Amino acid sequence: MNKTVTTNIGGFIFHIDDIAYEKLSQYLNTIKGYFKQSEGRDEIIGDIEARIAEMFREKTGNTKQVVTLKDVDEVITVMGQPEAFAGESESSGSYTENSSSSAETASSRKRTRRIFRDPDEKVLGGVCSGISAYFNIDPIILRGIFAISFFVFGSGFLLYLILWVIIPKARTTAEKLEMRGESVNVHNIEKTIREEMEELKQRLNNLSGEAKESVRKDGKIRTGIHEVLDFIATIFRMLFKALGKVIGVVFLIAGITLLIVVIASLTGLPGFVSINNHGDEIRLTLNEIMYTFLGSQQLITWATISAALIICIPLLGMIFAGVKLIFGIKTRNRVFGWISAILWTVGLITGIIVAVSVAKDFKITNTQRSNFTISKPNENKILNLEVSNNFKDFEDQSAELGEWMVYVDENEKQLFRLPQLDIEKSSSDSIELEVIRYSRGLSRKDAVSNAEKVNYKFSQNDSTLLFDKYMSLEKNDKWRMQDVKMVLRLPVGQTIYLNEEMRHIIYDIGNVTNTWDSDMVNRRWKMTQNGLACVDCDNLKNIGDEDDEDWAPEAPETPEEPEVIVPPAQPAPPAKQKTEAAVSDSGITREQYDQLSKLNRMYLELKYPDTNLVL
Amino acid sequence: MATNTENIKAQMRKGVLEYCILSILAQHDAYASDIIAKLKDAKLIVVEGTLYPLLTRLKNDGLLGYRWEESTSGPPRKYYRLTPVGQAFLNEMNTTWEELVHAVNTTTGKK
Repeated sequence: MNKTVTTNIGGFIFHIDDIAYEKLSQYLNTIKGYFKQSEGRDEIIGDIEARIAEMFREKTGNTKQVVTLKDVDEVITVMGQPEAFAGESESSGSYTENSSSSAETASSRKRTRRIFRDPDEKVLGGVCSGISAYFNIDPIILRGIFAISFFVFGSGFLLYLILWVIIPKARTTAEKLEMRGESVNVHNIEKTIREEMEELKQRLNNLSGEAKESVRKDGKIRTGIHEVLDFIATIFRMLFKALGKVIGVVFLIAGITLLIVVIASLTGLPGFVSINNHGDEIRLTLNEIMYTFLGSQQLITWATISAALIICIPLLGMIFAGVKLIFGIKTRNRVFGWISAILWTVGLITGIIVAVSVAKDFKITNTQRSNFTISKPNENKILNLEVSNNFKDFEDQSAELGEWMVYVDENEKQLFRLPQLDIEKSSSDSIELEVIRYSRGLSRKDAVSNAEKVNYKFSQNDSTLLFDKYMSLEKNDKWRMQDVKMVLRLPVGQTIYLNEEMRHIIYDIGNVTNTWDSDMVNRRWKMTQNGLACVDCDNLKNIGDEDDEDWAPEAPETPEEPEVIVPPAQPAPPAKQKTEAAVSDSGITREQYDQLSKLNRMYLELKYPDTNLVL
Repeated sequence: MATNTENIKAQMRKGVLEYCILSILAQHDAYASDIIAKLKDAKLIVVEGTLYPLLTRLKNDGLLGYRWEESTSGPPRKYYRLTPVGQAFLNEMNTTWEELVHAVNTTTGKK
């Protein structure tokens, strides 16, 4: 007893044995595969099917209703194997004399191996066995590699899916044969290239021959030009083929590497490294970084999805293109093209929505100023400015993110950064400290509340003003461009001492000597009518201020001091003018001045032997 | 070497095959099976499958035309006939063939 299948061949219905049906459909598929490139494919198949139907009709009747395997075998014998007859239409395709070249294409088609998925040897999609057949290796090796790579953030799985999609399945016997054609190895590649070169040479010879001929024969010139074009095209085709493979490999490797990096980042591998003061690595995940902007886990999820779609789809496309170039697959899968285009657009729209909803949170800027009066120190009249490190324990375990430090602990994240302190002249007689907190927010209210939540403290203890080193946000608060700036206003005559640690927070403090912030610490500064002036800079260790010849001190009150006397050779016009003014004022002669500058030079050379003075 | 000999044989057969098909159709219109029967008698082809792609191509080239004819034993049959272009082509082929036969006979000394 056999199961039968009802099938329609050439417009007639046949009952056919299950096994016989399998065989027949395979046979017809093979024929279809062979005539893939022929223009009259459907007609040929139709004719053949009609003939088969006719033969089946002869074989069946009232006494025998079912087409059996034997019938199918007989029909196949009569019709012949496609390998035997398919070549006819191909090689006799041109009426021209050079049938040798068409025979060559037929044989070269048989020679080159094409990549297919192997449906007979498959575990999942037959990708590994197909590739193995292409490179003539044991499929177990590839399977092992893929199995391992499945665990590298699923990258292998993705690659497998991509290959599954792009590599066509070997449906027909012809394709299966092509899949196992002559192996692709160095020897064969060399052989192919040599043959192609040979062919090229042949054509070149034909070309010169025909060029001569075409002079004699009328009307042959057209074919001559045709040959030239053909020849050039062949060269280009060869170059592009080689270039295509190289580009394909580059695409494939770059695509896979980037994809692994992106997937790893998106799935929470700490990929963002920051080095702290001790040289330790502090790692942050993308999720943690996004948290500082987005704040809510929901937004993070959407942002991650959007980023994944926007970045991964082009990368997948790159891998896609790479595989296609390497194996020379020509199939265009429109469905996947559309799906990826749609997904990419969805990702982009999601990204825009997330960006807009986050950007809204930055709409309103709030500046909150508060003024504090600092009581003047009683006895020595010097106000000490010091810094206390309020994040001493976290500093080293925090990652730097621009100006911000991020501390991550379990599920808590905290942002903190250095504030900025400026010192100005006070208009009144008292010492005043203005603390300005900035923040942005969705609304005025939101911005105000964000600014208020910024933690920053300072305290006064008699003659010492103690500043926190860091301003911080509340735990798990998000970044909304919060900032703290302070202005300390000193009345004229007030002296301050900048503690070493103050270098972290002082920012661009104006002073009469234009001393850099970093050089201002560890010194006493007195507020004068013109600004801050250094009180104990005589024993200045570094000469950072003087050897910068671009600018001269703004108000040279004491021109007799060596620092201020600039020798005439120095190419700094404004300084020179000032010196000359000083000369005429003090009423000394030119010779005296020259002598003085010589002495000055000797003095400077003795004082700073290591410095290369430009005099 | 063997493959080369095979190849030449196949090429020769192929060249002649089309000529023969056209000649058969020049005598009378024929159905694919009739043509095959004749070709098989002449031992030119062994399998029927060979013919269909050839007929389709010759038809597409304008050398052949066909008409449908009802059949008692199956689907309607295609009866092929030679078109005027096909006839002209066949005449040309006849000349070429005679030339070839002459050439071969002369060179092989079979005359």
